[in-house]
Amino acid sequence: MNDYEYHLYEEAKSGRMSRQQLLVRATMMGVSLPALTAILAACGSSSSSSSGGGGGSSSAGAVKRGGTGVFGITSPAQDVDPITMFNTGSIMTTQLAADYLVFPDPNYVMQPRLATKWLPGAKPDEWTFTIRQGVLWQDGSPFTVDDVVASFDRITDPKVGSAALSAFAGVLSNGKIEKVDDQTVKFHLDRPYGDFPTLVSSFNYNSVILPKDYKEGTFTKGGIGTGPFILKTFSADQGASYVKNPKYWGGPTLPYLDAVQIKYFADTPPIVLAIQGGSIDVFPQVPYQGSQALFSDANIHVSETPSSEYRTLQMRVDQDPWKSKEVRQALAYALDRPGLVQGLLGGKAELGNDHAFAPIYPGSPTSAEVPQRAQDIAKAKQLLQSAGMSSVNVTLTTEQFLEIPQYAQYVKQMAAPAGFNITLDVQPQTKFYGTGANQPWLQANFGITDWGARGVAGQTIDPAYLCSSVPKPDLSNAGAWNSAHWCDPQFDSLVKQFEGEADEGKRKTLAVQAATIQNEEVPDVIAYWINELRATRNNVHGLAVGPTFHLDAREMWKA
Amino acid sequence: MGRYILKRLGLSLITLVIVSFTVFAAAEVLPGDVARTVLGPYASQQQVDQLNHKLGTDQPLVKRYLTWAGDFIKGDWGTSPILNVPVRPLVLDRLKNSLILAGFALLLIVPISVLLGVLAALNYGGAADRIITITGLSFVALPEFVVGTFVIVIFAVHLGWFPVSSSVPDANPVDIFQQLLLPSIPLMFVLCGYISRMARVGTVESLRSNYTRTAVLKGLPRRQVVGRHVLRNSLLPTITVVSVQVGYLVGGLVVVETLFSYPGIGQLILNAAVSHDLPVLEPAVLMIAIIYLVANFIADVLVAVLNPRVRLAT
Repeated sequence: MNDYEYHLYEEAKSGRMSRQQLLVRATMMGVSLPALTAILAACGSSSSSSSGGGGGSSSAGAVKRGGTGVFGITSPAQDVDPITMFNTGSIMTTQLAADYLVFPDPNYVMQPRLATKWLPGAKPDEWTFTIRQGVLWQDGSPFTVDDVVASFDRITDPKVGSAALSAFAGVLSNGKIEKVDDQTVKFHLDRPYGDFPTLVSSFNYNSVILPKDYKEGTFTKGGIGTGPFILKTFSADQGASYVKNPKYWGGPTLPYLDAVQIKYFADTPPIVLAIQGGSIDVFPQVPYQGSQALFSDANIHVSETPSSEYRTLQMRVDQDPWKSKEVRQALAYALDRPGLVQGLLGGKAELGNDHAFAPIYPGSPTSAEVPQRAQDIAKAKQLLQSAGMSSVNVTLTTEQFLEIPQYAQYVKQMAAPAGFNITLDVQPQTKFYGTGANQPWLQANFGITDWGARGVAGQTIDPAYLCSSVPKPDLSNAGAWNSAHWCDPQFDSLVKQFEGEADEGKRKTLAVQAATIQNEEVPDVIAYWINELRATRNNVHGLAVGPTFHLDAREMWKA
Repeated sequence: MGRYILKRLGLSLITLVIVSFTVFAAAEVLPGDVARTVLGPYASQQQVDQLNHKLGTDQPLVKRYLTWAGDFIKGDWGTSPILNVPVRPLVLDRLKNSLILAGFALLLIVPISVLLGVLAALNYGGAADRIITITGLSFVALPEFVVGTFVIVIFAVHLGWFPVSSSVPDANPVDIFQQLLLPSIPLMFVLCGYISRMARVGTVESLRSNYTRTAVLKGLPRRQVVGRHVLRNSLLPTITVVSVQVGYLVGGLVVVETLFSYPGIGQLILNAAVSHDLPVLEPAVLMIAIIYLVANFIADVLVAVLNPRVRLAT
């Protein structure tokens, strides 16, 4: 074993890391399978993959090849291009036909895809990826390292305007991807970043690998990608159809299905009815609101996995009344978090504690390390008084999306006894996210914003809580999503040290320190982390239960 | 009659021009920014400005309207910057789908509504009249979404007699019936009560008129009195009401199209409005306006044919 592998062994043996945490960190840092096996064996565990299994009944029987799998998802409502896509419909449409270097399993353990191995340098500010050999593009041409370099050069180019820029900001700049040889590519990072493989996985959904001569806007013509299915037809508000890729690198046995169809729907209820009626097999990303009928349907299996999907209840720390930390804390203490979890999501969420280290991330602080905040109206009133206020009048600006309007109602009701008089302003999503210099989600004095799941704490924190992510007054710095406009240099320093640290014990200490600051300062209330739901008909097997906006249908089959 | 038709045509054209400018102007002030919607929230403002310039959305409103109207007449409707497909075939295809659903729905709704209305009138004040009236009013009060969900759950999910989602049927009558019956049911609930009430009112009025009394006193059989004298006059307001509903059936079925995933023009218009896809939104809405005008024109002509007093008065 090398030093890091031995370090992991020590952490696991001492019980400071769980098996799942070990797997996540080991695969993130490129620990080889033999070494991982040895570590787990020494700790008394097995190294079998924690892929999370598939939907359908537990007694699946032998794999049945062939047939067509049908997915129901919300429409991308626009043409799909992997470089600029940013909604679930587009992402899933792409993921059936295209590949990433690595791909997470339901427990966020990174699995090899177009990369077979990855290793950090002595400091994790350089990462070397070994590229899978013998892979063909769907048109039969060979996949090479040049394609990988071109793909990342493309999405790190500010002129292209990819959403990936927000993930790579401060980590990977344009032109820093080096072809070492025909099998190896090296990423030269702007700073040490121990979770870099997450940024080349589907958690950075634009980091799809495309041909080096790919022309933007041509993906939906079909036949582009190295993935298990070839896109044949696409209609932005109707659906897409795919056939099995006979040249797929996964071997002659994969994928199991002969074809896949995606049906696009405008809203959740028709998808619920469609899966109940059997006209679709999978509803990959199920929002709790509006899908309750699925939980009691005997023909449908709904899997539930913890995730890092959450909502911010953000307060502009640079504006009254939120300049005062006591006022922000008062609001945080006014909320009944278990009540929110039950009322909004039927209990299908984990409690949040006003810091961005989601429970699913390895090494996230526990409630023993950062005490869980609970509702305390008396304390809330006391905090307001200490700020020199007896009541606060504010407008809560948010979006019409999933459970968020109800969340806003709950906040209004729960905060009233503490002295908060809240007026609600619920806007359509397009208006809430806005354009140019008018983007309410970044400008509102008090708001709620939805955040999709990310793979590691850094991906959640960097675009939303660092000083560098505070939006400029004219909002010209794309990818700066710090909607609370909060800047704490000590927090920044701790996070950057955390991201560059390989020692798991030190990472934990840094995480606790950073989380404590964020919990104390509470620029955003983070009241819950949503458990992701995926619904499959009982005859569907082999489809991973999550992460739910990542679609991997290679091993899916239907009984 | 010729003069009447020409006059109606002229008024329709003037209306069309006014509607086209209203649609164009209203669409230009919808919230959102085309280039921003296409490029996503992370593109720089410079890129957004460049695309807006390329799409011509930074030109003066009147100049853009004249260009757009000219292109519309020539059949050059451009390409959707959101969907990345030519607009004309997309809009016409969706319009065709909506016309198919509307046609099927009308084939069910009009005869049933008229029959119920006439029955109610013929049994004025009686049990049949009360049942038909109250039932019709109750059904009108039920939202399309509720009825649609109900029929899907019963007939598609539990009984499996019909598909959960409706696609555009082929020419096979069985397929037409299977694909279009369920989405037509919520429409029947909404419209039958309303149209049957109009038919009832018209029929009651006709039954009480002098010419009906004369026909009865002349000894004509009741069937002949109703069929030849009463219906011809009583259906005039019904024809007008039905023509107004045609526009709703073609372009207003967003809820039904969403629930049944039917690829109609209503949903296309909604998506285009939300995503600020002006090249799709404007011609699609204009086509609905044209359908409205055509339906009203046909209704006006029919009324004039059935009632000579109308065309002579103009």
